[in-house]
Amino acid sequence: MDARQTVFIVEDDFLIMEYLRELSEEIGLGVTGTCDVAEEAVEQIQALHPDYVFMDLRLRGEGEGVDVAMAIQARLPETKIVYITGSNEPASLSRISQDHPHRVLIKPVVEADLRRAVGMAPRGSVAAGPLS
Amino acid sequence: MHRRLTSSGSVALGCGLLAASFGTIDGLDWLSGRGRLVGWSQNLATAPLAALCFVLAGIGIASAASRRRLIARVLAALLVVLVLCNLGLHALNAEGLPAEWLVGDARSRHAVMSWATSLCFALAAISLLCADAEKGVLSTVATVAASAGLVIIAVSLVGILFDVRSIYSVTFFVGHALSSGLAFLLCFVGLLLLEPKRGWVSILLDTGAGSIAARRLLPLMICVVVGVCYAGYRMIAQGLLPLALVVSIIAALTALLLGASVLWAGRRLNEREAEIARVTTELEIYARDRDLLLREVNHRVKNNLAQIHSMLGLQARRIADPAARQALGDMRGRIEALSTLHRILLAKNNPSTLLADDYLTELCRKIEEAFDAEGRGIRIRVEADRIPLQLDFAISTGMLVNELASNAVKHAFSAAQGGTVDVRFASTDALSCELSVADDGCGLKRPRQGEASPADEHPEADGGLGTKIINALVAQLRGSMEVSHGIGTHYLIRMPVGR
Repeated sequence: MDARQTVFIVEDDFLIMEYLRELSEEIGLGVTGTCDVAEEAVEQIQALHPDYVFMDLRLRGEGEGVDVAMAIQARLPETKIVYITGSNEPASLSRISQDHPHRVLIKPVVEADLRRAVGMAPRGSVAAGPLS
Repeated sequence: MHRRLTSSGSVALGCGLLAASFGTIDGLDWLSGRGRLVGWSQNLATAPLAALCFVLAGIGIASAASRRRLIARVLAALLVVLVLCNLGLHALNAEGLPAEWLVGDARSRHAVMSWATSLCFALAAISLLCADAEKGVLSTVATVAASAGLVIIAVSLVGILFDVRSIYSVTFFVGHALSSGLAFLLCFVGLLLLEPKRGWVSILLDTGAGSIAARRLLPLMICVVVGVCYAGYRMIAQGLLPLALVVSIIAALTALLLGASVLWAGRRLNEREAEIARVTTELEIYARDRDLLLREVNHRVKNNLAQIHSMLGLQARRIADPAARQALGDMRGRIEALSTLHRILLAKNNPSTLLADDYLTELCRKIEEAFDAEGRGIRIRVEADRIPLQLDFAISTGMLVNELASNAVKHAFSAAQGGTVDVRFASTDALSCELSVADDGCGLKRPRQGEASPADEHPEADGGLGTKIINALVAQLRGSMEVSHGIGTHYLIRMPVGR
C-alpha cells in the first residue's frame, strides 16, 4: 500500500487534466484516476476511495461537479473535495457552496495553490520551481 | 410672416380671416345704409357693433396665428372696449342707437349685440389676450375661455337647429343670429388651434393611439347625441310620445352610448397593456440571453487562458535550461495576470467596469502567491484609489503592475533580506493618474542612475523582453515613465485615466 495521499481528478479539459496530474505527482500526491464524465466519475471514485478529489464544475455529459460531489460524499465522508473551476461567477460559486467543499481554487492554478489545498507547506516558487 | 405655420396654425389663420370677412361684409352692408342682409333674413345679419367686433376678433386671431402678437393684443383690447360700450348702450337703454345712426331705423331688433354675443366676444378677447401663454394659469385661462365660448355657441346653434323661436324667447340669446353663431364657431376653433399643444385640443391632435381613437369617436358621439335629442324633441313637439318617455329614451340611449365608448376605450387600454407586457417579456428574455452569452464568452476566454497556462506548465517541466524555464515561468505569470482580470470580472454581476483597488489588490496577492513572497519575507503593499476603470485601461495597467511588481519580487531582494514592494495607484485630477511601484531592496545588480531598464538587473533572464513589454504598455496607456534609484528602485508612470 502506497503511503502517499491519493487524488482523483475530475476535469473535462484534457490539457488542464494532464497539467494537474503532473502538478499533483510533483507535490507528492498519487493520482489514482481521472475522469471527465459525471456518472463515470461517481463510480470510479467510489471504487478507488481517494483522499482528495480535484473537481471541475463543468463536465461532459449530464451533471456538474457539484452533482458528483453530492453523490459521493454520503458514502465517502473522508474524501475531501477541492473544486478547481474556471467559472467563479456568483451563480457557480453559490452552487458550489451548497456542497461543503474542502477548498475552492480558480483556474489557472499553480503549485502553491495545490500545496495549500492539500495542506502541504509551500516549497519555492512555481515560476522558478525545481524539476525535482 | 416670421416663420412657417404649422397646419393647425394655418387652420387658425383661415378661421380668423373667414370670421373677419363675415364681419366686413356685414359691416359694409350696415354702412351702405340699407341693412339688406338683416332685411332679407334675420339669420344672415348681425348687429353693426357685432360686425365690427368680428372684424377685430378675426384679424386678431389671424395675427396671433401668424405670430404678430402685439397686433393681436391691441385688437383684443379694442374688443374688450367695444363689449363694454355695448353693455353701456344696454345700461342707457339706447339699444337702437347704432342702427339708427347707420340705417335710420331705431326699431331694428339687431341694433346692439345680444348678451350671448357680448359674453362670447368677451371670452374671445380673454382667450386672445392669453394666447401667448404656453403653460401656467394664463394658458389654462385661454383654453377655458375658448372652450366656454364653444359651449355657448353649441347651445345657441343646436337651439337654432331645434327651434329658432324658442331660443329667441330667452333674453340671453335674443338677437344671436345663426350667422354670428357660425362666425363665433370659427373664432373659437381658431383660438383653440392657436396653441395646439395646449389643453384638451392637444389630445385630439396628437399622434398617439388614444388621439386617433378620440378623433374617430368624438364627432360620432356629438352627432349621435345631437341626433337622438333632435329626434326626441321632434317627437315631443308633434306629441307622438309623452314627454317623460322621450326624455327616458334619450337618457337610456345616451347612457348606452357613453357606456359603450367607455368600455371600448377600456378594451383598447387592456390591449395596449397586454402588448406592452408581451414586449417587456421578450426584452427580458433577450437581455437574459445576452447576459448568458456574455458570461459564456468570458468563461471561454478564461478557459483558454487556463489551457495556455497548463501547456506552458507542462512544457516548463520538460526544460532543463534554467534560463529558458525562467522565461516560461515569467510568461505563465503574465497569463495569470490576465486570468486574474477575468476572474474579478466574472465574480461580479455587472462585468463592465471594475474598481482599481479591488483589482490591484487581488492581482498583487496573486503575484505574492506565485513567487512565494511570504516565504521569502517579501510583502506587496497596495494603496489604490477606489475608482472605476475601463476594461482596456485595466488590462494594460494590470499587465504593467504585474511586470514591475513581479520583477521587484524576483530581483530586488537578496535571499535572506526580505522587504516591501509598494504599489500605489491614485488619480491626480479628473483626467490623469499616477501608478508607482517602489521596492526597498538592495537590488541584486544595481543599474546605473537614470537607466530605465528593469531588465538590466537580470539581462540574461529574458533578453530585454520585460523592458520591451513595460515600454509597450506605457506607450499603450499614453503615459510617461520615470525611474529613480534611492534605497530601492522606484517606477513612476503618469498617464490619462481610463474610467
